[in-house]
Amino acid sequence: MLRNFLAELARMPDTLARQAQAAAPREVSGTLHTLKGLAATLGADGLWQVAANAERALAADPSPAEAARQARSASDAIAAVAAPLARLLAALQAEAASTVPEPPLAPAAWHRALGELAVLLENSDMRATDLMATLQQQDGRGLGPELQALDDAVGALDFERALPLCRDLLARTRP
Amino acid sequence: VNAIHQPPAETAPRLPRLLVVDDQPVNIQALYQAFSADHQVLMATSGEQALKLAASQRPDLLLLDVVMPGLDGHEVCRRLKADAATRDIPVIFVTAQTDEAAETLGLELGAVDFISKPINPRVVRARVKTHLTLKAQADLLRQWVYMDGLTGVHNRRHFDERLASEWARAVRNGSELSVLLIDVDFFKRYNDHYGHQAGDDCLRRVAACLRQQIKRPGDLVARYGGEEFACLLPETPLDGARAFAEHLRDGIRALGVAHARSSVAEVVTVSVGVCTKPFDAVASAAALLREADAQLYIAKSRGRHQVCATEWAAP
Repeated sequence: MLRNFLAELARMPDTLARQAQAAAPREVSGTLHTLKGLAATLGADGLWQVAANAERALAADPSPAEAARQARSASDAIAAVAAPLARLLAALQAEAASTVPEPPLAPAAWHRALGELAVLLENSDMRATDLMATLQQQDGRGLGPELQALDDAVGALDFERALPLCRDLLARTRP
Repeated sequence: VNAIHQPPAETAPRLPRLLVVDDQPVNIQALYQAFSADHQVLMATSGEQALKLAASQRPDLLLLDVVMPGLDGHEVCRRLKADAATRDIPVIFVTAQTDEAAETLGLELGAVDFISKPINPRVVRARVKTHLTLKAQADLLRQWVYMDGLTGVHNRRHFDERLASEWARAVRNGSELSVLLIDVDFFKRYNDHYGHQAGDDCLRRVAACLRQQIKRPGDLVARYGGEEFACLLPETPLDGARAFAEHLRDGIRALGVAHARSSVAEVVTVSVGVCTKPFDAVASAAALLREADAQLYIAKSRGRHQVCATEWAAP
């Protein structure tokens, strides 16, 4: 969740600047609304407060000048939290990496699990994210780097991109 | 013998299936954390994808974001409620919008509830549980309206509705459609000899046997009334329908339910009337049914325990 949150935060300042430059208060308001929702979900209260205030101010004065001002204010708040959050993510990932790894799955079992992943992706089933984590942790075939693209797509919940990657791996790793 | 009110095989117990729709993966992941232990959670990141999944996966409930690029949540809800196949799926809006107008609009569009972000997992779980329970009760009621209480197969109301829709489809597609009417031979004598309770049990066994023979998803068996059953076989020509009817007739006899008062066998048997709409016929569903009934009458008048079949032809 944190990884997706950070990825979304990284895109937002550019998006806000572009929308403000295009004098599009409604679009700026939409981005602020998204920021408010995400910050609330992750419990980033300070960021939520800034986004909520900005959205409210823009609703009261939907002018391009106000949109530009609120876009800047939100971007500043994002910049202030991005670095600490990135450090937190790195720490969490380091902690996860330091745990004793699960024994790798036998090739046939691993391939079967990859087949199950394809079905879950086809059905847009969120259990795909759990199974993907298992496949990463118990990769007995040394496919680490090749799995990364699939892991990135599944982690971003872009199952349409993940499915062909998964099928390609299935075809190439048949025992 | 299947118990009364036993749900059809296709509704075997499974985890409640939720469809979470949000353009932000973080929000989907938060809801997944709340429900992954005891629900199947499907997800869509756009309104278009949500509509496709709702139609193909038939979730038990939707958790739907309002503000999304492309089709927004309100439009998704409007389209779901306009489609007979998806209108019974409860929709709960989950949104960072907190104004009264947004909530009112959502409820007017047919949503059953409105939850504000950030979600409180316990509150969301409680509300989802409530609406899943209501949905399950509504599904059960809908199912019972179309089920025969004695035998557990569909009832005449369901048969009539399906016949009308299958007839319309067959005319539109220029395809065949077959109807079978099945009557238990000498059933009055059976009841008089063995008693009504045994008669009910006999009907249940006949119904279960008929249901077991139905293998294709679109085929239907229903209790048409008394000791009469009906089968609907879409896209089935006369030869196929006749062969299936013979198969049913043999299956019922093979049950070996003793019938000491039958004049045709020592066990319970059936007579079957079959009528098929050829691919190019356009008469009416009622005419098809009448002709199947006429064929049943012929089968009985020729001595029972046999199949009589014909293609519908314009008089």
